[in-house]
Amino acid sequence: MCSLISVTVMSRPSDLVQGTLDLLILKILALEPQHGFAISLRLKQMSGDILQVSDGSLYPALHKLEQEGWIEAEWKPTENNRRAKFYSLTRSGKRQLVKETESWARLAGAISMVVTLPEV
Amino acid sequence: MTFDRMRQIVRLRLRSLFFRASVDRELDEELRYHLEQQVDVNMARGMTPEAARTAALRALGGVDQRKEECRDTRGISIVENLLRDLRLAFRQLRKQPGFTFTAVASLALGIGANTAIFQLLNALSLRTLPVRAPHELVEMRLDGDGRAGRHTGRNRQISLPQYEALLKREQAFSSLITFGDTRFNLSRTGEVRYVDGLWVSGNFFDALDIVPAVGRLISPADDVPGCGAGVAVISHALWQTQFGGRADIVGQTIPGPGIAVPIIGVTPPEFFGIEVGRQYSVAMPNCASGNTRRDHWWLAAIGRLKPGWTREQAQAHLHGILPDVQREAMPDYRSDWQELYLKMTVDVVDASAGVSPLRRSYQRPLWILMAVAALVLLLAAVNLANLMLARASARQQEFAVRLAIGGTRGRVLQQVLTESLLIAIVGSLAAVVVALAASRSIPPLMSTVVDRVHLDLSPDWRVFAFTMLIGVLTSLIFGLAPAVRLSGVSIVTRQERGSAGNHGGRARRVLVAAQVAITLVLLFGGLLFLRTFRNLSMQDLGIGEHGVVIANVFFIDTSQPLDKRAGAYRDLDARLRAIPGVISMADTYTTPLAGTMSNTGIEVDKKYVGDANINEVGPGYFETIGVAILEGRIFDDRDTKGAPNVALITKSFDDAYLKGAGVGAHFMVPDDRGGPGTEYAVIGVIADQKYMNIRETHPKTFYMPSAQVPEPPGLTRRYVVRANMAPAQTIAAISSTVAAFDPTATIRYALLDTQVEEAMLQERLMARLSAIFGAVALLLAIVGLYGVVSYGVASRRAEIGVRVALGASRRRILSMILGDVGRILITGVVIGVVLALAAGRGIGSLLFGLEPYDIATLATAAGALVVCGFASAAWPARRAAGVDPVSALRES
Repeated sequence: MCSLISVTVMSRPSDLVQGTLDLLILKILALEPQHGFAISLRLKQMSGDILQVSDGSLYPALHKLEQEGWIEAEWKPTENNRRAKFYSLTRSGKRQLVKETESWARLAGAISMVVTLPEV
Repeated sequence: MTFDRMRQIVRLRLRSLFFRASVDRELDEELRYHLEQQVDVNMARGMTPEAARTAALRALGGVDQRKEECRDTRGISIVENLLRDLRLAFRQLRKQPGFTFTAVASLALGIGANTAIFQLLNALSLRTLPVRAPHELVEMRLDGDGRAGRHTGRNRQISLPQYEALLKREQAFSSLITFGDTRFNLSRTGEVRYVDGLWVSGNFFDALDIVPAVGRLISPADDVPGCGAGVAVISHALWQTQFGGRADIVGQTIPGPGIAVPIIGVTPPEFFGIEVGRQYSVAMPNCASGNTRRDHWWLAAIGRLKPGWTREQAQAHLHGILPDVQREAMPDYRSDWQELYLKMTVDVVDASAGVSPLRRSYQRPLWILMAVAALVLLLAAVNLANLMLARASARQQEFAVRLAIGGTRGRVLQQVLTESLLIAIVGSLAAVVVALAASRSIPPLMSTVVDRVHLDLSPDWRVFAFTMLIGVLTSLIFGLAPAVRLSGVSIVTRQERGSAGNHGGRARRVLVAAQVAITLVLLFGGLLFLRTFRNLSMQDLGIGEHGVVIANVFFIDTSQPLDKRAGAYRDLDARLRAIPGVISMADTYTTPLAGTMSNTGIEVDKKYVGDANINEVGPGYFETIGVAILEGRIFDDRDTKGAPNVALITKSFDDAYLKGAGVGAHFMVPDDRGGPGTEYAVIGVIADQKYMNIRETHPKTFYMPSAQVPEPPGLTRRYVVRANMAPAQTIAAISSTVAAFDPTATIRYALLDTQVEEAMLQERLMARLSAIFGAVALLLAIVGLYGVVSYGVASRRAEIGVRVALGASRRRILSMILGDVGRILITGVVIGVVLALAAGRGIGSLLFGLEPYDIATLATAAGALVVCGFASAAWPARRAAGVDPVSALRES
């Protein structure tokens, strides 16, 4: 339901970003379980600050992924001994990541093919 | 979707629905943690604490907005919307109390009537016995005409010797039990007080695994030959009512005429016996009954199948051993009866729901009533659908607006359906209350003075499931109609009311025609049952039943020598006859419509011609019960023992067996045991009377003088007394006369006219209930028709205004409206006639004196329906004819 293809068919323009964000979150969580703040740091870090994902859209996205059953949350102490909500990938989340990665690759490939067409 | 994922989703949604506060608290904490971390980072970069906090907040974009967005992702909107819709629906319904009351009340009555009848069916046929593993229980029934002799009880199948022979041979059952139903008199003197009693085999309670509430229950050691008066187990109900629930009940005695039986225990409250429809009060072992005769049929046999045995295997097994059982227990029959007796076959039937003669006689009527109630509910639902349609039309504007400002069609429909659901839920709840009251009012209508029907009507899961099921079905009928109607609403065309309005009108007219058709079926059925009851009660029973008191006097004094007893009875006869006010009286063996009779074969010219009833009566019998003497004389003092045997015969007997020879003819009653038999000379012919049941036609009966009965009289003497005073006075006078004669005697009274009425219980019940249902159906149809015509008139006001303005007369407007009504009625009636004739076939066996396709009844029903239909349309039609063209046109 959140594969990019179907999202782009729907008319809400923000869904493209939303879907991309989902993919990025799933990818980050595939590396290791993280709490929200760490995910936000990692996002900026990994994309070399190119992707300006606002902290504001991160939490609704996390909650949505949790409701979809792709990630699950657990309250655990952090390294500095505070309680934080740690998210981790579920098994169906892993499958979803594979699916979304494939469709992203397809979409990216298609777009790059289109934009690199020689102009006549 | 994997199972894990589904489980997580469900868990989270339930959590956010029911633990909203803690979910919100966690969200707070999560966002707070993020903020604090961000502030720390910002401060590490050298910001002031204040600037760090502001920057962090800005990056998050406002905590409250984020919280709201997170909540939106929880996906609980469906449930929340439902709750919101319910609140809205509740407010809307409260704003329209008239509509709400009509809707809820018609559902409460419709669903309530269905539930009530279902409760009866459930209690009578579906509920299993409250004993261990009821599905292992089977009843053994013998089939065939071979059981001549004495028959007692409602569940009579076998004799005690047959039971003993069966026990020796059968392998199919882990236990085989028997019981006989009886009545015990709990009054020592004076008028009797009967309670339902059971004779049970010693293994009865063990096999059913009944745990005593107090004391112990009857065991095999209690049921041995020569047990005398035996011991007694009583029901929980009797313990409470008769003994006030006293703790020292064990060791008390059962009061009864002349005997005192010790009570050994009490059964648990839910145990009523094995016969559904009855509540036993006292149980005693079979041995105490003294019923050991081989030709006495009084026991029901219930087996508990051994593990691994099926009913079919048990049947095959019993079939195999039956010939030996039959031979061992064979009564002392003459040869042709032996042949019949040995030809009997055995059936093994499911007894998980107990045995029940009541079920046999009422199951079919109840299913018919169930169908009738379902049709009435359908009518109510259609009326509601009509009402909802009218409201939907009125609210089209509202829905158009909601669609225009962005409500999805689904949401709008959901809201309409929610409203129907709310009505259905409230209606169903009210229906349960109606049903509880209504179902309890039925068993008394099935009871006679001495035979009290007892049914366990406490609602169980089946009743609730049934109520819910029909509640949902009903709400679908009336909820979907407006939903379908509204799904056609669009934002743009909503202002043109005319075309869409007419479309709704057509749907409503079709619904009303359907109502008319169903109503005709119900009216027709109701009239058939009413006429059946009338035919039965108006038929010539051949007796004058009013003012006749029946007195059954039971003596316990067994010390008197048998040969003196007849003389003593003649003394009592004379004392009773001498009571001032008594016009006539007689002793008799049985009375009309008492449901008991003895029966014998008749031979004419040494040839068997058929069976006949016998009654043994004193000379005053015919005058007392008012029988017409057609020919010859009645019994008198000449007809004593030693004098030639004489008989009075009924007209049917005369016609069937004696070719109408009448007075002077002779016939033989063969002896049971192959002896010479007795010859009777006919001295008179009288009109037919019914003894066994009210539907008997041409019962062949002969009477012999009680003075000529060869056997000495028993301990019971039955009298019929006609007096020129109130029955209560007659009864008081008889009581004091009998008490003076023998203070230990007990008496049971009955009134002959009550006995006649009680012979028509089932028909009276059917007539009453189907008449009520028919009337309700008619009312619903009238309301439906009235609604449709009023609505039609209201929506055609402008059109009618134009017609009037163009010169149409009042009469023309009236005939236009009524013509429309006529078309609806005719369509409905034509369909209804077809349905009624089809439905009539199913009830043919319950009718009396008329056919299920009785045209006069059908015409009456159709006529009444058409008249009522026009009457209901008259008022709105007159209003239409009175439309003032100016104001009508201005409004539009």
